[in-house]
Amino acid sequence: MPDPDRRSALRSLRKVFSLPRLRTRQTPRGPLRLADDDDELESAGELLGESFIRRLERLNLLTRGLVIQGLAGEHRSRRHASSTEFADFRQYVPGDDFRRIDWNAFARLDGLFLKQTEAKEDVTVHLLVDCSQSMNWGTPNKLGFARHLAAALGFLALARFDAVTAVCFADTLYERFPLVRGRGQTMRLLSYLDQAPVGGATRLQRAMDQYCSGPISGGIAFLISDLFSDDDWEAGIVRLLREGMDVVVIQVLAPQELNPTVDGDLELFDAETGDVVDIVVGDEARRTYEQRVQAWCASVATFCHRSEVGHLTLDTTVPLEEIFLNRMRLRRIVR
Amino acid sequence: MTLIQPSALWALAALPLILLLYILRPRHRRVVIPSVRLWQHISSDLEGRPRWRLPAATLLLFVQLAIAGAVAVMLARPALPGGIGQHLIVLVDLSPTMLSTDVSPNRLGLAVQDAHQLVAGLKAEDQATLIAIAPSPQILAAGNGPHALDQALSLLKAAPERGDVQSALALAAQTADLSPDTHNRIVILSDGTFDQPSLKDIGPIPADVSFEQVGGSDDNQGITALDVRPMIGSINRYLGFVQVANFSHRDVQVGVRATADGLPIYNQKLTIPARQPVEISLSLPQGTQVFAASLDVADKYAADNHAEALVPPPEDLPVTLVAADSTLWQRALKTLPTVKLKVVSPPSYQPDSAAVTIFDGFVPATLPNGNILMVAPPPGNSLIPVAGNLPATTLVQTDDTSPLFDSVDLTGLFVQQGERFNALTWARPIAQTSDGPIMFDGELQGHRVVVIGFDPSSTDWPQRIAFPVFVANAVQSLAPTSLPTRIDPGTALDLPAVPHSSSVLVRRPDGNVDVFAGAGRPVRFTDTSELGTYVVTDTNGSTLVAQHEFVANSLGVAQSDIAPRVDPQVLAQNGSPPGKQTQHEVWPWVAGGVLALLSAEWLLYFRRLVV
Repeated sequence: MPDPDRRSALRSLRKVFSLPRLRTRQTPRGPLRLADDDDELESAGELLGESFIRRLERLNLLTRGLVIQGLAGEHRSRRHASSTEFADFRQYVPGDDFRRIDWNAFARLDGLFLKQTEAKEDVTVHLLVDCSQSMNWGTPNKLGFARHLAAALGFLALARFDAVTAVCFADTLYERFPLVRGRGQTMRLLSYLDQAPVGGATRLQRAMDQYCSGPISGGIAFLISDLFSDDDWEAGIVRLLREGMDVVVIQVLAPQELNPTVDGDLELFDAETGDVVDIVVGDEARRTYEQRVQAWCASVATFCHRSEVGHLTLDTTVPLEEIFLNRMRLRRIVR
Repeated sequence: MTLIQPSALWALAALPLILLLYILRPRHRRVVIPSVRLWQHISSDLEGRPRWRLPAATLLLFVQLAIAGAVAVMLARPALPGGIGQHLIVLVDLSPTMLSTDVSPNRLGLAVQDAHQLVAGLKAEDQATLIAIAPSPQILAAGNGPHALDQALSLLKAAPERGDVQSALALAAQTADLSPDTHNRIVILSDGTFDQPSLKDIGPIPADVSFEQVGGSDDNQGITALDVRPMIGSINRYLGFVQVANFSHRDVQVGVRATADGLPIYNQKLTIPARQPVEISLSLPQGTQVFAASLDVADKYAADNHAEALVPPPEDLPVTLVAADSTLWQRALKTLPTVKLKVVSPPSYQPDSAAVTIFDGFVPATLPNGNILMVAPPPGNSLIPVAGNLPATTLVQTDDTSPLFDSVDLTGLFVQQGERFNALTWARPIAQTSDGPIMFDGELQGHRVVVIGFDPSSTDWPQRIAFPVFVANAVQSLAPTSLPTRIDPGTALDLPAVPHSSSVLVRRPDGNVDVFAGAGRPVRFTDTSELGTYVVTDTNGSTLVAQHEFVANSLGVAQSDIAPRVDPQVLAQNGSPPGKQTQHEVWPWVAGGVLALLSAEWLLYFRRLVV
């Protein structure tokens, strides 16, 4: 008997990943609703790859810190706990609980060993999406890419029965998506991401301060942004760490930012601040800019590494399948 | 470096104009990007400047400014100082003696080589002029640089006659006078076989003049005269006359051969003393047409070792006398040996082809082909309108310039009854009485007509010696002119019109034929520069009407003496202006640079290269 929540979420995900951006339409029955044409969903699933969605369901988010006590979830924790899932053996030391000695091992090896098991805990996933004007740029669009990425992460967490919350921000926080659990909430999350307002300058420190001053309960925070912040973005991340969260910074950049193709006598206009730079762009200027971008990304990576913060710099042309199945695995964000 | 046209530097005003165009051109293209922070301070020279800032220092702008600047400099004609400009005027003698082979290949060839060497020493900006010392000196070439005269020098060939050094030097002086800013040098390349020119007659020569002797030998023996003369006392017999001269300073044995129509009539070896002539007279066989003489000697000038002379053909002069009483005229005409007289009474006269026709007291309705002596035309004729009679009068004046009165004095001749004519507009009076003109000479209907307005038999003229002399003068003057049998090379010859011929063909000594259509009019033939026999043929279609020959030769002591006679020191003089310093214009190099810049600009523009 198929799970109706799972089926609904799968349909939503298929739709999200198969289209270039979230599509909504007004219907007489409700304010906003995803298209539910069965034939279109089936073809979208074929385009996305059924296997990717299946594999996405099997992925687990990997946390680095302690998991706050709460409802038992399916999230795999690094903390050893009393459970039935074997993790390792270790030698007995005085003070250990006799009840955990493996007597079978004692009979075979003539030594006292304790059987260690993994704790399976639920985790709260915080999806922090930068919706500033600078994100609404590039081909493919950075904000669209960020929404897809957040949607996929949310689906992954909800599928593992983890609690998920989300918030979009620019120079301030927008309306927060409440903490939800279960696959049945996938469509609500997608709808929230699709309807989030766009615009304004990024003030990451201010936005994170605002976020942390609210009711949060630790967990994993995925910060999806281009990090072009008017204030101290590093302080914003530190603020999240202080709240006991595992933080993963996903820096999103358009290919035109990494390798600009502009040329000639230009007036470069800052989409967020309105600042203007008059410049004649040629080979030399482009070379200098690219060096600066690389240095900028390197500085972000260095900060994250030093702060034990997960970090990914993503080009918006990178497919989601590549991100989840390779890069995030490589960085031990999922497994 | 100097600027020959510094005012052209105003063109540098184009530089700020180009900058202005760059400033005024459309603003920069606006591009919206997520953040400008990574773009800041990449081109720090552009930032923070006002909107009217100077354009960016692009390579394209630099190239365009460089082009405008270079063009302005080019228009200003920059020049580098050079040396003193020179004008070399080379006079090459083209006289026949320049073909003497005492130097290799001959004097003219050596002169050409010397001229090449002289011109080769010139700089690119120096002037060079080549003047030919010919019978009519002329400038053959002029130009700049060491190769300016090469082509003209390669085409030089000797003229048929001795050159006019005096005129050539005057022409060179005039040419030098046109170059007051250069150091002028006149170099005469000649064998010096001419008399000392009078430099005083030329006037001041603004040049340094030098004479370069080419050759110098006097080793020549040549035919200096060859002629055919009637033999006294014989009819149609001629004597051939040959003069051979030795111009060398030593006695020379010379073989002399003479032929009559190709048949040898004389072959002797003569020893001719130094610088002396010998003369030979030979009786030519009757009917000889061509008399030729040749020398067998190894001298340095071969052009005078052969000569030809034509025996003039016997010619009868047909004269028709139309008179009621012809006694008086027959007596005078019979004394003229070449006259073939035909006497006709007026009623039976029919126009014929006589060279001269004498009408006495009669005027025909139609004039004959030849020229006419009209005597006492009767009143009422249609050609010579007689207005009446003159009273008894006396001839008071005759035209002494007229050949009719050569050795004829009619002054004081009493005319009992003379005729008065209406105005004869086609004739001029040649004899006047106290009451008006009585004799005329003019051209009527294409015929030369001499009119005598009285009957000579009514005067005492026939009793004077002046009458037969006048008749002889009249017949000779009215007879059509005949071609000479000998001319000097280069002489223009008027070939008389021959009746019934439609074209004239002239075969030159080299075998080439010149054809002149539209006969019936005299033809002027000027191409007589070659030595040898010319054949003139008058034809009417394929019918031969008349044929005549003449010989062009240049015989004479002056033509054959190849020894130099001029003193080079007398010709040498220093009269050149000092000359001014020349300037090497460098605008062609600047133009080359502009072209290169234009090419670079084209590449930059189309490849859109910017810095």
